Amino acid sequence: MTGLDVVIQQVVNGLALGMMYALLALGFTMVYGIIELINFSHFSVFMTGTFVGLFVLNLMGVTAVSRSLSGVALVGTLLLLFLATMTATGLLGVVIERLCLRPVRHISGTAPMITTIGVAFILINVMLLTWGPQTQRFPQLLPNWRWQVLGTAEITFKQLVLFVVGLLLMLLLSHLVKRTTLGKTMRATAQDADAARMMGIDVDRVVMLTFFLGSALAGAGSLFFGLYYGFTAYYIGYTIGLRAFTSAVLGGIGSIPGAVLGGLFIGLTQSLGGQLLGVKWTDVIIFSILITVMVLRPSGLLGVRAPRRPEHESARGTAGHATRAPSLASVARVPAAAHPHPRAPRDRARLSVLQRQRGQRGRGGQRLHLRAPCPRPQHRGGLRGPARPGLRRVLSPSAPTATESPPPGSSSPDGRVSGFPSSGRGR
Amino acid sequence: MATITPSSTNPDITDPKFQSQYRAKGKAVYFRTVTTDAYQGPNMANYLFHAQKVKSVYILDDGGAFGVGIADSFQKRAGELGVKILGRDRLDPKEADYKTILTKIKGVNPDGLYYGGVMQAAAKLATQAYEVMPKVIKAGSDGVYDLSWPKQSGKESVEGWFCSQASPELVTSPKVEAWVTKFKTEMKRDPTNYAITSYNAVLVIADAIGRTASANKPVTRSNLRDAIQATKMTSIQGPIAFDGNGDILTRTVSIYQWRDGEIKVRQRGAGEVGEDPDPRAGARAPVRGRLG
Repeated sequence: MTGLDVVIQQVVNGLALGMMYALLALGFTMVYGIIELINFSHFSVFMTGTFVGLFVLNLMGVTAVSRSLSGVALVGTLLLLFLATMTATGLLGVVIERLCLRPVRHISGTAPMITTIGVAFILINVMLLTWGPQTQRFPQLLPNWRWQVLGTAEITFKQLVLFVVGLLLMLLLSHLVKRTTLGKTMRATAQDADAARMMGIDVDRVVMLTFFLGSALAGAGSLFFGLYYGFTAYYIGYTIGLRAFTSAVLGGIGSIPGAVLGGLFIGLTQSLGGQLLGVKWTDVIIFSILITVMVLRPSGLLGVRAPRRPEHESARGTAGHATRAPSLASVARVPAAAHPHPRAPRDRARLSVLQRQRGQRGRGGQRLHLRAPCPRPQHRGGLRGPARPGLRRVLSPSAPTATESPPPGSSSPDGRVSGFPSSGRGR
Repeated sequence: MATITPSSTNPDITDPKFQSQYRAKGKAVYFRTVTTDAYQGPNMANYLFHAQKVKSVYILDDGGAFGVGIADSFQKRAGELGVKILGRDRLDPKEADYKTILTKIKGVNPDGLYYGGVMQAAAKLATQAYEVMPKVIKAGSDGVYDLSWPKQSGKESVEGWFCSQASPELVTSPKVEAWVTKFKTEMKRDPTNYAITSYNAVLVIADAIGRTASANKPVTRSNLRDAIQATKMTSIQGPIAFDGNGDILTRTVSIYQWRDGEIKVRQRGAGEVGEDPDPRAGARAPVRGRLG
């Protein structure tokens, strides 16, 4: 192999690796886009997915010593495997959301994030205890076909399957977010959860579906992992998950094309960096790039620069969070000009006073610290009048968010403020 | 009080560097009837060079104390033999993707690949190395002398890998057949190599007591230590004598190879040659390097 061939080979390897990171990064980015939560349990859902896949294969009678399949048997097995595993991990994501995150969603600060870390450790240890610490061999379903591309560099059948199925899943997701009603509700929730709720969107359901989709993609990623590397173990989630998270941040967290781009970029960096500098430097390179991007362009590669925080807030010591990564909204190519208004400073000040009175707000302006001003859709103001019925629905005790309705006596002057997020109510 | 170990192979316990910790009175009190990890790497280098005609190697370790040490000792000896070292890199045992480094190694086209480390990285290394470069000669240490390896990496992936142990291969040797038969009838199970080194450790103590008594000296801890230090006996594992640090002078390492999912003896050590075609590949390591 000549030097050039090796580099081409590394590019092919890097793209395959990047595809896997991208699938995982999508889950991070979607959840962040909707509820602005960094979901660390995503690592472990991915890891659990490999074991689910292994379990499903064993149920189908395919074990580590079986020979690779071909033809109809292969396609059938793969379809069934992906369907079963993606459903299982998707449901796992929903269960995590329902049991561990929804109860803490209204708490401001880092509590929900810490909860996801806890969930991650629980899953890791459950897998460690049920499957043991050794490396488990993953059945090699895909035949070891390979073709030469450009000189002696080779592309394997496994890599090809990874590219094709990965791209298909991404196109499917993109279609789902952009063209379907479900996607519309997701985008609406990402833009403004409270406005979405006023429009009659069941935000809880949307959040749940987001977790389902993200976790199902992690399940697909985990199967690629198993088929590509031929093994699984309880510890694999951490390294891959951290890099996928880096990919999401690099691409602009909240942006779906950004996650894919970030994933491919990290994959290429890993393989070319390993080739040119040595694999022991892999993480140093990846995280140096992350830091550089964060310093020079905090919103990530495909991130849109959000409007600057109003002056008076910076003065309160919340400076440094002047930019906000774009939400799913930016994915939908809503022109930035359509909703350029940061929340008016006067409104915001009034809101914070009200919230303090209602005891819904920490002293240090914690909520503001976490949720920098987000672009508001222009039509929001226009909803004030006609939105009343919807608002009543939100505030009525029978509504799904009844627990969050304000205590009696604190009803807001015009009913509008109650609809505002109270300490992350929109989550 | 003197202690004899039949199976501990970490070099540190007898290393003069740790004298203050392990021998407060300046004299060796810890003896072994096996050699240490410090000789596994160099012996594998000898074997690959002499028996397998390996002229260039790429060296990997897993970043652990054991892996780095044994890869260092391999690298030193390989360099002395004139084997070309094409590169050295470190595997992260928690990393999943070794295709990057393996592709890089494939690019420099070495005759052999040496891996110093334990199973966690080896399980993945074997699978991926089989995919990327099935024809390269691959070798490890006793870190990959693990019967569960084919189960973890696949039988075809571990095929041909060499591994080593810091003791002579004895149980299959015709010399100790009688001993093995006796062991089986009395203990109702198969002996391991370390069963023999344990047996010899007890013989060393008995011999030391005998010599102390016949020299009309009182059998005290101190006298017994001196007697063990002066041991010169022949046993079923070969001659036993200790250096000033308590290490056995016969630094025997056995070389094995994975064949069809099983570990086969390639070189028994102690001058005996198993199925090894080249008798020049002596078992005694000429190096006296120590590991930190």
